[in-house]
Amino acid sequence: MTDDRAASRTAAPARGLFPRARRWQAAFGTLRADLAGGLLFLALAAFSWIGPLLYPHDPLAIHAHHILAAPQARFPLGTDDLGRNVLARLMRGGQTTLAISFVASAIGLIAGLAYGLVAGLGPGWLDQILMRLLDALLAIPTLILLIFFAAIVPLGEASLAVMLGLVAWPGIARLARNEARAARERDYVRAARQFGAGRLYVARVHILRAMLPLVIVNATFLMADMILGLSGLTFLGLGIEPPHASWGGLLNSGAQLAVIDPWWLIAFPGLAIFLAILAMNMLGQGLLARLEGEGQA
Amino acid sequence: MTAGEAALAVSGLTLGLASGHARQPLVEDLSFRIGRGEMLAFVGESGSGKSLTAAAIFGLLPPGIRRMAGAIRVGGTELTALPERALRARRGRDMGLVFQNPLTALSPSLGVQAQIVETYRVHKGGTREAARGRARALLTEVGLSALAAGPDRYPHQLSGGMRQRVMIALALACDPGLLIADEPTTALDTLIQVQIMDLLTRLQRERGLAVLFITHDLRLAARYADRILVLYAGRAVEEGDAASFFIAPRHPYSRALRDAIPPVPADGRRLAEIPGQPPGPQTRIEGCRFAPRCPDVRDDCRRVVPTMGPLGVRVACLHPGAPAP
Amino acid sequence: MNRSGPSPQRARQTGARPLAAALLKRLGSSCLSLVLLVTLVFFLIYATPGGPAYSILGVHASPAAVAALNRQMGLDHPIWRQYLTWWDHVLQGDLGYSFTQHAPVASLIGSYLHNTLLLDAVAATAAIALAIVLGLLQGARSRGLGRAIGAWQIVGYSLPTFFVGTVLILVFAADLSWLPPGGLGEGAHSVWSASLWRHLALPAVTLALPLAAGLSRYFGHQVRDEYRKDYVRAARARGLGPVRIAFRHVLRNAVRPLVTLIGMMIPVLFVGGVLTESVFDYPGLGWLLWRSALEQDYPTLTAIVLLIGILTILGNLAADLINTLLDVRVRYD
Repeated sequence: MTDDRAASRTAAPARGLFPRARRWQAAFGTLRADLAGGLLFLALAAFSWIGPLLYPHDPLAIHAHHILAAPQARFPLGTDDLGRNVLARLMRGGQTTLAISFVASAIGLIAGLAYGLVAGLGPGWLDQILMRLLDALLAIPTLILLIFFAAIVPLGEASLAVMLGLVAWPGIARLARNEARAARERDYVRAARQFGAGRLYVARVHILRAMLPLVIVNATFLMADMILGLSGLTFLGLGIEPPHASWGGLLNSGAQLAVIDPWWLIAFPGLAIFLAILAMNMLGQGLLARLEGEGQA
Repeated sequence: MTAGEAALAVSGLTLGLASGHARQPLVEDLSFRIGRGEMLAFVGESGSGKSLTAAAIFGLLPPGIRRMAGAIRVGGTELTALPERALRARRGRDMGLVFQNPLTALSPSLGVQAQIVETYRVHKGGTREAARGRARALLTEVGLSALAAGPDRYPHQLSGGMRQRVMIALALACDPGLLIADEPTTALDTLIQVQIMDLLTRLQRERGLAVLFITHDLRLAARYADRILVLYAGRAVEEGDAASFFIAPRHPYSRALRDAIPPVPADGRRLAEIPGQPPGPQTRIEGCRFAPRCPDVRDDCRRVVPTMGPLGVRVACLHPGAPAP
Repeated sequence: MNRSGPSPQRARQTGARPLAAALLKRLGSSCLSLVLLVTLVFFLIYATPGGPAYSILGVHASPAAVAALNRQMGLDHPIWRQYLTWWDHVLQGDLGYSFTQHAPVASLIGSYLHNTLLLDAVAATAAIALAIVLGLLQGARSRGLGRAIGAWQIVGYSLPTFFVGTVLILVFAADLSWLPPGGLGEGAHSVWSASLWRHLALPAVTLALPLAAGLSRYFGHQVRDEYRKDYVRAARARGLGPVRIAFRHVLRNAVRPLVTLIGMMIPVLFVGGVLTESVFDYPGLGWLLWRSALEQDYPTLTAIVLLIGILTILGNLAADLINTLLDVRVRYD
């Protein structure tokens, strides 16, 4: 019996080795990914639209004596190979990038929802046809399709947004279709139909509402995709004509000079794209985690 | 019986939430022992701490739950003092665990023979062939001679009863002295239940196995076990000989449990039920934990924590019923 | 759960028919997708403003020249006839003639495709290996390390390939001069040439990074679900060690969904490939696509889009088939 007692004493509650670290971790754990992502995105939008008000410099003005100047007091983010102010160009490029991506996401979302709802709520044969068509479309990756279009059609900023949106919808369409199919089988939707509610009414009131949270989450991922797609396209030198440039175009002009190492032409536009995508992904992941009722992202 | 001879001896085991403040422990001051060739049944409702105790014996408490005090000796070795690696070497070798649902507890995409072979070789080494022979012998011993002779099967290719037999063979892969069976028949048909229990008692007898049989079914416990220990809200309330216990339980809770067993009494009385719910770990109760639901409660029950008497008079009640004649 | 299941023999007999039916159905749907893809690409060409003649002759070509070329290429025929001609060409592997590279497209594509498959294979292998290790770690540890891996994953697939590639060139080629900034050198013909691997290193890392991030995230979730199951507790109770449990038990069950994901990797590889190959001037299919887009080399562009579409459909089919077979091995064997 005595050794039993001794053993029971060894099990005294152990304190963590680093109590302070644990407290810090607890505090950090409460910082939600979706909140952080949302704030980050707002900051980038503020940089692009409010920034020019606080730092009113012409992004297209050429400072011939300051070609490829490293960051300094006069040019906080340096100048490019034509002597243009990188900070000002980054702000203007942010407007282009974010606005086009946003409009494109909205178009893709609406088109995808419409297609998905028609497939999901329509008769079976229509669903089959529309879904096979979607498979074929999905077989060509988005960026490839974009490159294809961009090579044929001369694009302005508006038509670029429309094209991005038209290329982006299949993912949302598949989601909406699956959700609609699932929702259709739910009891309350069946009940509503039995009571004579019209197809459109049911779609609007019940099904759309049921899938809304998931659609919102996927819209944020779509936005991340659009930023990536647009940046990729313009990085390849397609889509937006100079002298205007999105973040991808700015990165491209830096990358072409990579061998002479103008790090500021690469780091800042690259970081801007990365942060914008990161913001949307964090927002999406956080919302998704919240939707799934999981504690942490 | 001396301490060295018991296959399992638990004393003063107390389990609680790792991050709790002043909450009630989940298992409090639990002591019991099982000798070789003996079957002890743990009887209690879900949440009474039965499975948690089994997990504690294996040193596999779920995250967030910790052993606050107590000693656990298996085959004469104090387990709580062992480092994880040494403890791991004893799991499966000195003690085997049988789960409630064999379908989920068997590794789904590995053949059942392969699982026995694996367990055997991890602990005992030896050639694959030797281990395979051992697996066949074990499968035959648990009544699966067809499976032992044929090619290896995946768990989902077997019936529920076969799976549980495999689970038992797996737990016995390394000839442990102690087997813990946690609700081994709850997921099975009544008919299969009987077969599995018969198998367990046969192994217990033939191998001199100590068995801890965890169940909520008092009848099964009374029929198969040698002794019964009733748990209520994390505390042992009564322990006794299975046969006499069922005839004349002394603790009011045990009596209530017995009276709640179907079939309905022939004299037309309603099946007895226990009013109220067992307390959760958040509720703090002074005195006897069963007091709020006890039909025979008196004033001192709410002040004094009843403890088990010395061996022989094992009932934790201030005012127990009459002992068996 | 309680009923005694069918004997293994019977299960195999009854299982064979639905299996064959499922495989046929899957095959049929892939064929249909292929037909639709070929049709889709046809419409992409012929329904776009300007049409192919403009792309060949340039936007400022005279109407007369366009009309002449249209006649020469059979573009003045009714659309159904053009459609049939298109099918005829596709089936014969006649993908047109590249006016900028002065070679038939079909012969042009071969060597580029080879280089792309080489890069993709290296990158995918690295990504899968990394994803399995990270996923297992993440699934086994919910705090600390698991969280760090989770954070890395979001960062990893938010990092644009072209940014990573540019930075890698900047650091390893421009600053440190350790590795070549691009191209493929002369060693493309032997897997044993050091030059080949030196040229592959940076593009492969660039391509593998976002892939590993995405894959390990899915895989990590899968692993975490597995770790919550009873059989892991049971394995611990049998005294099996954590490494054995991870690789022999958990991995076995978590790896099957990964096969499907590998099918879904294919489009990611192509998209990442275009950007990576452009950054590193790596002579692969993506690079060729990019060049022909910039130079408006229409036949080449079409052929590559079609090829990528076909490879994607076939890749998904392969992943599905492997998955079904893995499933069968367990279920009907």
